[in-house]
Amino acid sequence: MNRTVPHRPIRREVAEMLAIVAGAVGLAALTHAPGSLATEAMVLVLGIVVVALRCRRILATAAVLVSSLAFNVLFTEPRWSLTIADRNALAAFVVMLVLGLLMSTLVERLRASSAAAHSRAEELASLNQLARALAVADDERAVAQALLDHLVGVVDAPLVLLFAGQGSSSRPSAAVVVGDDWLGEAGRHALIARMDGGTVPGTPGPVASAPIGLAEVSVGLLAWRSDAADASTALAGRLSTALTQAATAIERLRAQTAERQLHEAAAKERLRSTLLASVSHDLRTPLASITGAASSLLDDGADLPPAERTALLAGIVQESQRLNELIANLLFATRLDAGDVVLRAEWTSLEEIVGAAVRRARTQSRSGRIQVVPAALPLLQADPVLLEQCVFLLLDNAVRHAPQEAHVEVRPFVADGRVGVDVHDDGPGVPPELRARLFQRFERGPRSSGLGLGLAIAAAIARAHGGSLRLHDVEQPGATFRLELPVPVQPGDVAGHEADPSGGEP
Amino acid sequence: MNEPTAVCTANALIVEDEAPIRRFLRTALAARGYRVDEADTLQAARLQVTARPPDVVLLDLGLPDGDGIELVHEIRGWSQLPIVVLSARDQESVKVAALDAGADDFLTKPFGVPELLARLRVVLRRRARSEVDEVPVVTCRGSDGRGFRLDLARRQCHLLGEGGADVKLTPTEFRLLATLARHAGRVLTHTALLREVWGPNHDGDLAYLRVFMGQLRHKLEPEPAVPRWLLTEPGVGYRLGIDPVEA
Repeated sequence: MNRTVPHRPIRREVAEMLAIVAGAVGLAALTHAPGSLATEAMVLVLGIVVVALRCRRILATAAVLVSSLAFNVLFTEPRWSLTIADRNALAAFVVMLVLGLLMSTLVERLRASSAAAHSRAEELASLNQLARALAVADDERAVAQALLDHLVGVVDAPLVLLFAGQGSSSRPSAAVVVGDDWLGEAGRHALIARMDGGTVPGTPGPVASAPIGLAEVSVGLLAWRSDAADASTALAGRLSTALTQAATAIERLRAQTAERQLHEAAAKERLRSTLLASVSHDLRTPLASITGAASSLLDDGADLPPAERTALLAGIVQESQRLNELIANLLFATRLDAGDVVLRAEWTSLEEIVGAAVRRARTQSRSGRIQVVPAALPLLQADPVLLEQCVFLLLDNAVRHAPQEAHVEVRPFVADGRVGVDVHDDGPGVPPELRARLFQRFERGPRSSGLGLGLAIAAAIARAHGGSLRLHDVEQPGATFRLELPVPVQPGDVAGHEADPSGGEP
Repeated sequence: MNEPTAVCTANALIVEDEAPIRRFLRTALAARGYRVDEADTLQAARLQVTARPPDVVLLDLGLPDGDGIELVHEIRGWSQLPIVVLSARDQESVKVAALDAGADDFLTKPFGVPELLARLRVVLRRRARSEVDEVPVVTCRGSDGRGFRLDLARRQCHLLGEGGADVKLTPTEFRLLATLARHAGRVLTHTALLREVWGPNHDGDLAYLRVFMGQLRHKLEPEPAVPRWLLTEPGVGYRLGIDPVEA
């Protein structure tokens, strides 16, 4: 290839050549003895070899000529003339001339092949580096960047990479563009539409290009500014390995994406069937008791003692409410999945939220066993409806999982820029094997009759507020769920503009 | 259902497209002496309201031929007759829109008969009262005898039960409590309260409202963390609960 060891300036090399030849001639003159001229010829050939090793080829040839001339003039009889009388001396002269030319040619060839090997090794190392970069590239832009990094050392012209977006290859768009964008928007489109180089209308100056792809399928295009068509064709040939590697990487990425999508779809499908199975079972349970109680009232209502009738009716109301809660959770989980839940954050009082949730939970469980420990709490930026639902779900969870006689205590707290609520019950606590999966959907405790959605939804609401929900203090008896939320900068001195209580007088 | 029933002679119009819900409402109301008319579309409701103006409208917001809020706007164009809106739990913004359009209160589906009757009592009492004058005294007292009494005319508030005493309220606290008391039992949206207590330029100062409600609770409620009377309707507003609405 064209790449050789870079030469020094010609003048220096000429001077060096002359010096080496002069040295050789001097050495030959020192060893000169009349008769055989073999030693002198050898010394001069040595000089030629040294020149060939150090200087460019033309100077090696020049050294052969100069040395031959010096040999002829200085050492062969008659001296100081260009004629050679002795046949032996003539033979020595010819052998020296041929040997000199041969040696200089050999040395040059050796040097060229060594340079080629060096350049190939460099190219291989560079390709290796590209292969490593491509192996870890996890999107098409990274592939493009790796390819570009590699090409910058190879192509000595402004270049740009265009990757067609996936989909219709008939009208590809420049989905990924890296490099100096000297083509401009219009140029890129013109180029990618044709998928080949040449002079494309709308591009500034002549453009050469090479497709990036496997077999017939082109995933992109490398374009560079080029004035010479021949050089471009040669360059395209040299780039083919790198471009094929990049195309392979792109294909691999696309195959991975397709596979991942397939997996996700399958997982979603599995979740959906679990959901359906679970939902139909759990919705049927309250429905069965409602149907039973209602039909019993319909058939034997008149004969039933009043107390029993009331119990059946109360059961219907309670189971209906339960059903309503289940459906609400299910609906909310679906909306969460669909990205349909919008956080309407506003100034909200945590004390109020807790109060409303406790009130609702007390009404539903028809018991006063939920107690609240009073605390002075800051205002929050939160969605009051979602947050109330979150606290309610924690209370509902405690009421339903702890035995009937257990106490449920709500303990709001403020600490270190966080505000929160602990919901504690003195029941048996969460079984250790359940703790890790507690906040996953459809995970249910041993005594649960729900869908296993409540805690998952509560945790999702906490996360949506930049907070967290976790099991707290597992070493202590009972179960404590800790909801933690960030405290915003409080809204000015809200009450400050009003003087001390003035007894209601205007 | 087995509470003593006061016979009511009001005309109620039920606007609801679900037949089972209409039936349940009709049965419950007729049993207490209401005369009941029904409409299953917005168009039918318009005709009913103008042909035979009812004393109260129970309005489902999701009707097959339009949004119930339209009807609220139309009725408020010519009448102050009480409107109670029926809606689902996760539709707080819809409730607020209906209330700000002029609806008097809302019921979240599913609801029980006691809740329904309590709402109707409140809105019908308001109608009866506005024809006379304001009630000067509002009393909130629990079964344990604790609670408070607000005298609007004298601008005084008194704690009831053991150790009852006069409560000192700041002017803003008093205005807030008085506003809730004048609409006792009825939900008031944040916007409505802010306008009435702080004036029309304080629409957005929700934090004020939260802080003053908290102060009122701490002065008046036996258990401020779980209030009995100064009730929060999350995402909607506040209500002074005077009826034992919930069990």
